[in-house]
Amino acid sequence: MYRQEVSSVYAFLYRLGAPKAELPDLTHDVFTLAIGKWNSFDRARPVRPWLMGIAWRVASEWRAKKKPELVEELPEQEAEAGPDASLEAKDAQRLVQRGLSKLDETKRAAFVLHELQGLSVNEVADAMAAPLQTTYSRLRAAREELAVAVRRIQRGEA
Amino acid sequence: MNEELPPISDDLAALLSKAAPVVPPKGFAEQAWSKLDLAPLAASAAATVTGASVAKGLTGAKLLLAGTVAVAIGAGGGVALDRTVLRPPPQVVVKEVVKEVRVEVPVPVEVKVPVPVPEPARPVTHAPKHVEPPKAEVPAPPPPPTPAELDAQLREERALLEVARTALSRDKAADAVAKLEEHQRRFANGRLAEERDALMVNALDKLGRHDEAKAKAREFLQRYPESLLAPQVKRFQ
Repeated sequence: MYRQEVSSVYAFLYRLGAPKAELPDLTHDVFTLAIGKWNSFDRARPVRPWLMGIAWRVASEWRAKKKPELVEELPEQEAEAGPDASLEAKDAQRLVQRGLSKLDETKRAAFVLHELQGLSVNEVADAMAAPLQTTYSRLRAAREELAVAVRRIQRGEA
Repeated sequence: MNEELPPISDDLAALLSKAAPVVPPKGFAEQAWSKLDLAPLAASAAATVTGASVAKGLTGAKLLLAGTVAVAIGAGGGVALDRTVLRPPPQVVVKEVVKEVRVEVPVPVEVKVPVPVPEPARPVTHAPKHVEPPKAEVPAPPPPPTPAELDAQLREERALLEVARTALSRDKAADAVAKLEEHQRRFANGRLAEERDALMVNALDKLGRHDEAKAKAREFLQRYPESLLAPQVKRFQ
């Protein structure tokens, strides 16, 4: 489970804007909580949505503890791509990350979970403990806002 | 329900498909793993070990019964982490328990086998007719450490290894070895024993004690063949 999911947890936290220096500790917190809850987890269900729900709560708590100005001042992070990724792929990843940073937390998380992590809308709703319709609304808004943000970045307006 | 979402714009879809996936840096998984507290899973693994040990003491239908119990516990414990180096349980009195298991073969009815696990196993459906509970003269195992005690010990273990790791990164291998030896003395089978042993290999090699490092590396790989730290230890063989 750990080997299969650690990259997904890392990517999710990174996509949510957690700074690189915090990623080891945040990932550690996610799996520590998961291990603690493992015996009560219904193993008939897929692990990833459950784990992403834990990661979402860990990330939310982390942001809540940080001073707002500190979170706002987080520098743009360099893309975390594999060594084989092409320059174009890295640029695209960086652009997506910059666009995501323009979304609010809930829309950003919903978008990442659904579009980038492959969770169904129902699973996203479960992971974020949100009503299904709210999740649909967030996803719709996130798609629109991200498309606008990316265009603005490409035009040099953001 | 996905049809309630409007299609993603072509531009955005193209960008997402082009973007490289986010991947953790090399060594990240090992680093995060080494800091995990696996105590809850170790407890689950202990239940499985206990069941298997009971099975060793039985034969025939008894073995089948014990095997069933072990499997049930294993499924309930659910040790899904791909790792085999969980620490043994601190208290398991297997032989005494086995002596007290009386089995009348082969009538399958309900029974509860006294395997000492934190959570009760799922009901055994193919069990023999009657099993008496263990007799009172079996000495009770010492109480398991409380979560607070486990936390405190883990903190101490982590602190020692952090000092050793820092010393190692500052080329103070002798200091690192001293701290690792202290960890060995105080927490021989501690929860971070695996990481300690891996660090020791590295520290001994840095100290110029190459033969010892090689020997420790071999021991490590024998003891933890599936360890996430195995690749880095193999370099010292």
